[in-house]
Amino acid sequence: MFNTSKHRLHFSEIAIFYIVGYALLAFRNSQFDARALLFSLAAVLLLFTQYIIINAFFAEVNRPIVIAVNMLCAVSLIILYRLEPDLGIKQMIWVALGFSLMFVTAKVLAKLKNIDNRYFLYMGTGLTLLLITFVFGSVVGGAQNWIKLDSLGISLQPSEFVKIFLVLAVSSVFCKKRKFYVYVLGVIFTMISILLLVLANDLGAALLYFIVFLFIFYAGKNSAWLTLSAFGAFVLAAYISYFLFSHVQVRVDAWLHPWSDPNDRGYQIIQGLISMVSGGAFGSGLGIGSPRYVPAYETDYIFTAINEEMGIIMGLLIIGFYVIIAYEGIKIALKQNDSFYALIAFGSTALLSVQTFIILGGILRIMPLTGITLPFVSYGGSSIIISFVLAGIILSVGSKNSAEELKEEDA
Amino acid sequence: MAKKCKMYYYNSMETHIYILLAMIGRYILILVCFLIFVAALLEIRKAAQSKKPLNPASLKWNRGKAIFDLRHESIIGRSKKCNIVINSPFVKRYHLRILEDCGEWVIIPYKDTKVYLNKQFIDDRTLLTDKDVISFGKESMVFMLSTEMEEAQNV
Repeated sequence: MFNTSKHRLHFSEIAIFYIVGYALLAFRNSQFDARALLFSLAAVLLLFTQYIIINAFFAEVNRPIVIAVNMLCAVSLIILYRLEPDLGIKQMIWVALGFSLMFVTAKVLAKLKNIDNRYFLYMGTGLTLLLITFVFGSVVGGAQNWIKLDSLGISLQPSEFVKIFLVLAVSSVFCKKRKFYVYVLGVIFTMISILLLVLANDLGAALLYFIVFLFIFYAGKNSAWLTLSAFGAFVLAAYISYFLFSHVQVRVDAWLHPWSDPNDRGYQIIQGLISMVSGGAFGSGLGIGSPRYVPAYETDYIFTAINEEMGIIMGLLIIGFYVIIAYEGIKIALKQNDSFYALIAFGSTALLSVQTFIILGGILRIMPLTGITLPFVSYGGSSIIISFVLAGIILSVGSKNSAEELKEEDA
Repeated sequence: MAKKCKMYYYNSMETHIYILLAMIGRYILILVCFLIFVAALLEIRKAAQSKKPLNPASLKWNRGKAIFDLRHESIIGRSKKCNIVINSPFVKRYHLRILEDCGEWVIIPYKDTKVYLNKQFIDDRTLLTDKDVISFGKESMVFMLSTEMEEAQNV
């Protein structure tokens, strides 16, 4: 079933996963929850639509990435439906939108002409978006990061959208030999974006932007000295920021000594750690644990809820899916002859992977906690949409030089 | 004697059944997820294996003094999108393809290109044999099967 040439998408297995999860949730309350079964139907429909679209337009698409993204969304949808059914509904809508965007991006990106020279466009749009948030944004959870559209009932997080323009801008600036002022502009753009994010208190995004910039810069320019010195300057800036910003001090203290203030600063970290292990290797069972004791359990700390209810093994498998995405993304980037496409594939992979590392590192106390989301898994419209677009970029670069496309072009 | 139940605030029969179902369900969910993960890994391995041809071969380019190891399918031309890029104005953007079909190597010129195999003009799919000379756009390459390569190195 679902056989496409020699490569299978394994959608039938993913459908089984959805059905088992939702069927279980249907029996959770004393009244039979038919909505959960409707959801499993919607999920199977989603998989079926993907299967048709891939067969029709994307025969060469990278299978492991599609499988990994689908599994991450499956886990996310099931756990979110268990936590708050309304969030589960909204997330399903975002996921459906996300998949459509991913396939559209995958098809359209390779056909656009001259995208490797429009660095002004990318930098301008990125800066405009960040400035709009900075001026008009409302503060949510300590970070002035959101634009609330109350008429539509949703909030957007423009710092997420700017991630794409960051990847495009830095890739286009550093993909070939350009005049020196262009390089300077690229660096200045990154610095201003990071500064705006730090001022808006979104330190996680600032860290993410800088690390991704370093990755793309080194991949494009291959200069170890410059990269290392930039990294050194960053370490220096981070060290100074510890003394300048009390917010940074709070984060670092909570990371190093969470138990010295278990009810306030260390609360989220401690609750997260305890919740993660309280499920054991196989989890306490969907709906049986108590994941709601952890703050932000549906956005940043959703990994905790997954580990508690579905087990540490499931947590490891999720990390494994992210590793698959990273591995395939880097493979795709290495195969490219055109350096712009290689850089955007690599930049998108780096962005998703570094973001995952930063938030998981914060949850697991490898590094201070920051307020960014787990791609594809956390609840959040902007986060999911942008993650899908980034995956779409990777897929589009991956299927770029396929023999089919070249047959169309001919000599 | 009252039996102490772990979740003492659940006191209905349906909930006890659900707890049982959930405890079984967690193993099923993990198992299915694990199988999908392994399947994805196998897909990666499959893709890696299919790029290596069953019957290894390479092209020796005299002018550039280079030896190209041929992949399962190689596209040769002036365009940077090709697998083997020849930067010469006499070579078309996409000039010819060489691919392996179940162990047999085949050369397929693109439309409106001049490709010569052993000084004979070819315009369609043609089987390649060892030491064939492929000429196109003032370039010439020798097609070599890998076993011959190793012998040449040993000599």
